[in-house]
Amino acid sequence: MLASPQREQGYRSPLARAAGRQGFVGYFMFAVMTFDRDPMRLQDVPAELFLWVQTAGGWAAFGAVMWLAVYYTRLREEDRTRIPAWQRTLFTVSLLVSFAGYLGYFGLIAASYTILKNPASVEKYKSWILTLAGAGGLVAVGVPFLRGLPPLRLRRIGALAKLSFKEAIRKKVLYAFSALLLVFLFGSWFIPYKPEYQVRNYVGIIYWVMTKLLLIAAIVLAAFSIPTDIRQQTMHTITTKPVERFEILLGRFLGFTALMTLVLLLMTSLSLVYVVRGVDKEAAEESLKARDPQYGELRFENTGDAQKGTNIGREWDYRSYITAANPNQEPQFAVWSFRNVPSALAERDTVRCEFAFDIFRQTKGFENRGVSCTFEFQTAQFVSSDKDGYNTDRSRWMTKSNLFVQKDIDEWLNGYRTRLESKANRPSEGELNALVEAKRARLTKNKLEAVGSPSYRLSDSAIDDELAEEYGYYVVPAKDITDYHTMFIDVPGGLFRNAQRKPIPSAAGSGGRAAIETRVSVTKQSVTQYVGMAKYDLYWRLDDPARGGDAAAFTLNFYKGAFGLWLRLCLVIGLATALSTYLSGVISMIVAALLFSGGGAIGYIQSIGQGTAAGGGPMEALVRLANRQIALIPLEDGTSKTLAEGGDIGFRWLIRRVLDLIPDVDRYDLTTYVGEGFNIPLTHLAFDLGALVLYLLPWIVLGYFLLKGREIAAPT
Amino acid sequence: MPQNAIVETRKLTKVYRDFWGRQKKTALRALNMEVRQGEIFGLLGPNGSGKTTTIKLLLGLLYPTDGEAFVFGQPAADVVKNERIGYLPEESYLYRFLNAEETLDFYGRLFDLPSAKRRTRAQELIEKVGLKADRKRTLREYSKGMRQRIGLAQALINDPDLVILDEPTSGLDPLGARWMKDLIRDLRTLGKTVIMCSHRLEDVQDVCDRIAILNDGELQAYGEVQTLLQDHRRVELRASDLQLTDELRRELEEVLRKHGGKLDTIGHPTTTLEDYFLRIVEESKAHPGRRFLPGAESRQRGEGGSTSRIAEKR
Repeated sequence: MLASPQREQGYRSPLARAAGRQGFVGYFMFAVMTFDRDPMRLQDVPAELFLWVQTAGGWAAFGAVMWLAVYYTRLREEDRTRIPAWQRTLFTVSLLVSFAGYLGYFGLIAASYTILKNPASVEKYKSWILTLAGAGGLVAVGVPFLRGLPPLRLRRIGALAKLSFKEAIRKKVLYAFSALLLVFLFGSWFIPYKPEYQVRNYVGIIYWVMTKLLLIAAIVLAAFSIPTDIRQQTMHTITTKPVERFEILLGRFLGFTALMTLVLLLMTSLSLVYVVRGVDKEAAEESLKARDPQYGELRFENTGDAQKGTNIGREWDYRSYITAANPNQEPQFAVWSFRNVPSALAERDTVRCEFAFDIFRQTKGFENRGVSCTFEFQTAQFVSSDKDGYNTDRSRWMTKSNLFVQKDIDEWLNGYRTRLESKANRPSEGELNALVEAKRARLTKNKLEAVGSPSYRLSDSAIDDELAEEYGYYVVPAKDITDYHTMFIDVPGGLFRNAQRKPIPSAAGSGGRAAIETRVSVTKQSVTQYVGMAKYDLYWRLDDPARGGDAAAFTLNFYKGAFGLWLRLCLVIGLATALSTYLSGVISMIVAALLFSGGGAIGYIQSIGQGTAAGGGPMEALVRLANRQIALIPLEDGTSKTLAEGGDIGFRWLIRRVLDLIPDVDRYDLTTYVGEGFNIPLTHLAFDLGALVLYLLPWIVLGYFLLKGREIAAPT
Repeated sequence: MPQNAIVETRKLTKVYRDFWGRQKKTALRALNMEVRQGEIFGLLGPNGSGKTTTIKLLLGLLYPTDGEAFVFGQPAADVVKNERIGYLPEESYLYRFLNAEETLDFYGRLFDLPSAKRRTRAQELIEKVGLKADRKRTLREYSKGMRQRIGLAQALINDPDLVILDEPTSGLDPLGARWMKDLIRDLRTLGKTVIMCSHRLEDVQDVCDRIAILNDGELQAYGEVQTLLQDHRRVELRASDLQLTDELRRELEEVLRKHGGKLDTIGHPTTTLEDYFLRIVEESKAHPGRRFLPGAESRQRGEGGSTSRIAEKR
């Protein structure tokens, strides 16, 4: 989930105030992505799937029990016998497995407290048992659902989808979208000129308006379509044709989705033109891009905790802070480890490292000067004892004023060979010769003909590149950092060539060293200042800034951002359509809107469900009200505390079940990526799509059963 | 199920319940009936008698509380049976934002008909129901009669074996009603089975082979129309080329007395209002510019009178 951007003091336009959490002005840091939680990775997928089986399976088992209690008991014998015997058996067995699983789960919890006296010891088994129970529920419900799929016909679904499409167009629903014109006409009044904010503000306003317009239209269309068909009895004419009820549900869902997709595409294209034409040239150069970052893992050294730096008392603890070492103290470091670095980076002359840090000043510092930091980049080949050698070599070669004679070249190559031979991961003789010859070729590339003795020209950057390749080390001793501004260092490609080599065996060990580490420390010049940083504040640019193509990348990224909106549209359409199979239009719309809005507050609801919210649940709040106690003070031991906490356990369980129903809508909000100029990875889109399918599937299955079991002509 | 029965109900019962399962109304009680292949079957009854409930049960729009309903030998709730059914609801519940061609194309697609077949069939039906000139107009611009016509067309899009018509002549003018009845008879000629329910008893009498009369959800009468309507206590005699004189009346009374009967009425038979209306309209079409005005001819002759005459439109 993308975090709410840190709010800072600053002017906010009326539109920004209206936008609530997605304010536009003075809110965002410049070109920095902040994440409350890490973006999903491939290795997270199995755990997510297990969780889904547990959650959806639990609800499926509940639904199956409700069906047995409410529907099956009323079913006539002749109708019961129409269900194939194998299906009845499978249903019974899977439901029994599910029950056994839940009984086992609660039994295990009881045993862990009473017999084992160690609740933590059964955690692993609890998850497996819950998954098994959930799988039982899914089979019980899934098999009848799957049996209903073969009769489906694409032509019928297509006809119903086309009908929905035509209906929306001919009922002039699309007129509502002309409201976007208001933004096109007047939006620029509210967008301040400052180049570094311009793209972000344009993107923010455009997506905000598109999101609201499209979501409202989608939810209204989807919620009212089936109930209106039933009320106006047009449904009678359809269901008396050989139409499966599920085809109606799918047709409506796909029709509205197709319509909204077209509208979204059109609006996105128009908006893109508006943004690109609207921003100034300066802003375009600054921000119309889509960086492709490679993030690393962040740890701290000499701060007392590898996960955290120094706490400077800020409420938002997203960033940790380091400062320069006082006398007799070890210097503090923020270290980013990049375990895998694409080999393609080794082919570049330079690779850009970008970063944006927070500055916390204890003293005023120097006027017009940032906080000075040292940046060290080192590969797994590098050992700290080489640092002196590197510094000596660098000083030596840099004083040559870029002119090298043959003797210098020979000295450099001899030193290089000796160093390679002394390494624990000494290359073979052949490899060694090849490396030395390759270096010779590079060093003697720019030959200057002089009478008697040839000389060679080597630029400073070429020297740095060679040394970085040789030592696996590069340092920028003092870089001024400005508060919340994205800055960069172009690191020589030699460092990445070095990183490609076989790692030193002793250092590789179990787990191995990261291919590249970036170590940041505050220099002594800024001894009173703190620099705050988080994992995602520093990254390598996998895209090559020197190659250009920023506008094309931004365009593609803009559409990717729209894909996030498309996913939310699918979500509300699916949700509202499924609900409308049983509920009336108005109620479906309200419930879908409530669930969707709940998704915006999922973090807070989670904190209530997990008991981490300050002040506890309603029972505890009641006790606090009665005793006039504020939320931050722990309750005093006693009966009232026991009762309050006991009562809140049940409440929290209920909240967690409600939480199962609430979609994680913020994960589909990709606006920040676009506005901040960061590429949205395709894997991100794929995971989001997968998450949406998994969320919607149980609702669609519910809609299938509700519509199938419904008497279409029953008086309401 | 009897061999030539298309539809059969066995103790078919429907009880409407509220959300909590409490009984609200028994709409149909233990209905046993069958509809045979190739006949026109009428369902009659006052409002709330269970006619429409029966039809909805047969179509799977409602589920029986008790008993069973079979259509083409399959349970009524089975969707597959709908392949061979055409249904015209009482109100023509169609999408009013579609035009006639789009409507038929849409319902044709629901029958999974291929595109070419849909087009051909739609054109045929549009011509058949007389909407060729209006085929591009949306249904919201149609009159009720026109909607009933396009409704019938959609019911026939799949060339069904069983056509179920709920109040087919409702909203139609006498011309339209006659057209509809002729069409229903045509369907019988084509070997289709028709179930219709109607409040217009004369329509049912005109076209139906057999009927069922329901009242308060129970079957009251069931059988062939002719058999049910025959009055064995009376004898009807029709004659032509006769002048109605007192002498004729006396002689007839005498003959009837001799056979133990008595003469109830004697006089010129009247035609039905429908026939009369249709004749006038037909003649009007045949002679454009003429009007039927009361006493027009008498006035031309300088006489009074109340009989209808044809007058030239000036």
